[in-house]
Amino acid sequence: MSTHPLLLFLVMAVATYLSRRAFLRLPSRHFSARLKNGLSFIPLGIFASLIFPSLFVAEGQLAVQPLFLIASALCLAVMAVSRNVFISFGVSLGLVVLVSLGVIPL
Amino acid sequence: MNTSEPAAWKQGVLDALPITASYVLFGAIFGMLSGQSGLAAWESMAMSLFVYSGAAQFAASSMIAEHAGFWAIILTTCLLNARHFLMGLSLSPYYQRFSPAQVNALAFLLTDEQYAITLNRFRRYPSDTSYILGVGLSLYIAWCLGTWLGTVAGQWIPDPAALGLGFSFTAMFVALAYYQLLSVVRILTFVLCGAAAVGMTFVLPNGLPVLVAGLLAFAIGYFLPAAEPTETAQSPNVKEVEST
Repeated sequence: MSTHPLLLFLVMAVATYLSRRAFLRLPSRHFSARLKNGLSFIPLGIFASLIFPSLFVAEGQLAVQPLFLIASALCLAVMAVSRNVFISFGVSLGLVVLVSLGVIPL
Repeated sequence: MNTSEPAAWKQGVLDALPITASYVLFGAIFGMLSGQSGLAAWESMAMSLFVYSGAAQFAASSMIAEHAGFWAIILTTCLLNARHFLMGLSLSPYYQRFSPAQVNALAFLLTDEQYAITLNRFRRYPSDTSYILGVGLSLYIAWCLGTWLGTVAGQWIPDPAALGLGFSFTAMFVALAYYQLLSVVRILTFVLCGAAAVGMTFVLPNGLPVLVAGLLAFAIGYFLPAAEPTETAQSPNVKEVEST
């Protein structure tokens, strides 16, 4: 790369910042109930696309990752019971770490 | 808000804590890998301080190692960032009460994880800048601190794959997604978008599946307006979902 790295980082920074700022504050006075309902569904798509590929894609291939699936189901189950993000996060990540270290066989 | 609860910024720091720890680790991995790509320590630090985007930075450092061109790296950054458009749009109702200067400043701190944590908070409490700053600055400092650690002590960073720590982000997203899955329609939308995102990872550049899945969810919500009342109600009396 011949360009100065700082220039690259600054252009990257500007591109990243603009994407974050672009729609962050739209005038919502005229938002219809339909539009608001649509907006309230966006997190479902974002969460799903941040979660599902890490459960069903491995090394560029379609693959079921049983450990991650079980841990995710456990995470939801603990959420349903405890309504506590920290406990659910800790229990499900703990399971994955213990299995990865061989402490718990799977 | 109940005065016996911790200050909003403090609650933000607490809610972000598990991800703050993950950011230090992954920042360190970035610092180590960018060093292997040929970047000087100060250059890795500059990238984390200015760009502050894990996806874009990992992609850029591997492209720098492969001697990719300037514009190729910028284009990749833009594609990876496309998901922020929708996150911003989905947060926009909560940012209405902030001044333009506050929005300009807070926009810099928007990441996937910050989005998930703050959105969860604003379901129950009115949006406020101090909470966003508590979450956002924790994560920003963690990312930059991690990068620095990676540049000075890269050889001692544990391999997150071997420890299963790569699952930490998924675990946080699953826990926070729970509150979105309040009806059959929403659960079906979630599964449909997830399946679509998996399919898209094979054909679309990294970053775009999030954008398309978000648009798909928006379309479903828009065209099924009678399915349920809007999710944006902020009732402070719902206590059972407090996250700490």
